[in-house]
Amino acid sequence: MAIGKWLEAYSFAIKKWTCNRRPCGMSQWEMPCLDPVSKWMRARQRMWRRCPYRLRSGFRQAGLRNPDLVERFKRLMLAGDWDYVGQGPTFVYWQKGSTIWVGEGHHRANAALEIGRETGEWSYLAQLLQHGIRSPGEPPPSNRGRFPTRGWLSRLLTLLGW
Amino acid sequence: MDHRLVTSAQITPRLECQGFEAGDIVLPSFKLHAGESLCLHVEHGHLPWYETLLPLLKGEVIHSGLRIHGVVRYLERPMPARGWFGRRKDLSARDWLVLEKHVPLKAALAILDCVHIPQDLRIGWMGWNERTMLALEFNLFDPPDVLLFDTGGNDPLGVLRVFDRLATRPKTLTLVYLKYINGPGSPCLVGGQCLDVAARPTEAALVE
Repeated sequence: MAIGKWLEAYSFAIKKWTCNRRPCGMSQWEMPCLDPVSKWMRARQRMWRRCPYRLRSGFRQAGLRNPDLVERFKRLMLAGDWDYVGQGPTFVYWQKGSTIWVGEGHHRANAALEIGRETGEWSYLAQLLQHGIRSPGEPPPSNRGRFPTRGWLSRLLTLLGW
Repeated sequence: MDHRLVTSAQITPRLECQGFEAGDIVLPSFKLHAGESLCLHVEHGHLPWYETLLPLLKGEVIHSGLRIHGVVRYLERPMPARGWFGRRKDLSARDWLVLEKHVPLKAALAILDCVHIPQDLRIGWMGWNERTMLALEFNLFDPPDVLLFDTGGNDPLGVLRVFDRLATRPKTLTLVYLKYINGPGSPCLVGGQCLDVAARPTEAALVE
């Protein structure tokens, strides 16, 4: 508890210090990290817990076959060129509460997830879900699995077979 | 006068249902002969279809109201194992056909060529549409008497590919499509009889 309060006070002081030195027009996200604690706090903010949805695979997808595709999708989404309506029907998922099991569309879900983690903007993922096809019910338990990402932990788990 | 040879397989229905209630579903009455197809519109009930309807149709749960004559198989897609050393059990598409499904190597390569899947691609890395097509090709290579299938998780293009492929299936293969996405734009099985599988209210199912 005490450590948490100390960290908050420290991060506030650092933020104030960096705000004073931030060039005009630059957001706090564009500022490079200056100290290890800020780096750690930023990494903590990027963690999967921050996502409003609990993403899972609806058919035990082990990994992303074409990780470069995620980068391309990300660029298109950020540029506003992603056709959510046109591409919508090819995104299939199941939902129960905040848990989403992705059927078809692991790459684009990853792109939206990465944008959300980097910027805190989850509307890209929300739009994917809004225009996608929601299957009724849930996938069979034997088909459910971890959601594969491009992160090192996901890649390590894939290597181990989880 | 037309003298056609009528075999006993054509006379005896492959699936015969007298219509009954089981769990929270109400199955309609139907008879399915060799080569016929049925599109079951499954209403989403309290219990999922794969726990109530599927075991019944597969013959895993015996019910006097449903008679099965022949081999019934569900379209099970390849699924990698998960856990320690699970990677070793995440077989390539070729090994899945050869080692797990006991398909001769030459035939396995022909199947993979047909569905445009690289033979060394692990099944855990395949998309759902690809896995569906692979499982379908295997089932058409070694057809059962009745094939149960659903298209849950497949996108519309994947569903159309499945239907297109099944249009050229062996003539004696009977099909049962478990259609549980019943919205506008979700197609029914062409040439099949459409029937509704209603879901009873939870209270009624629990009282029984």
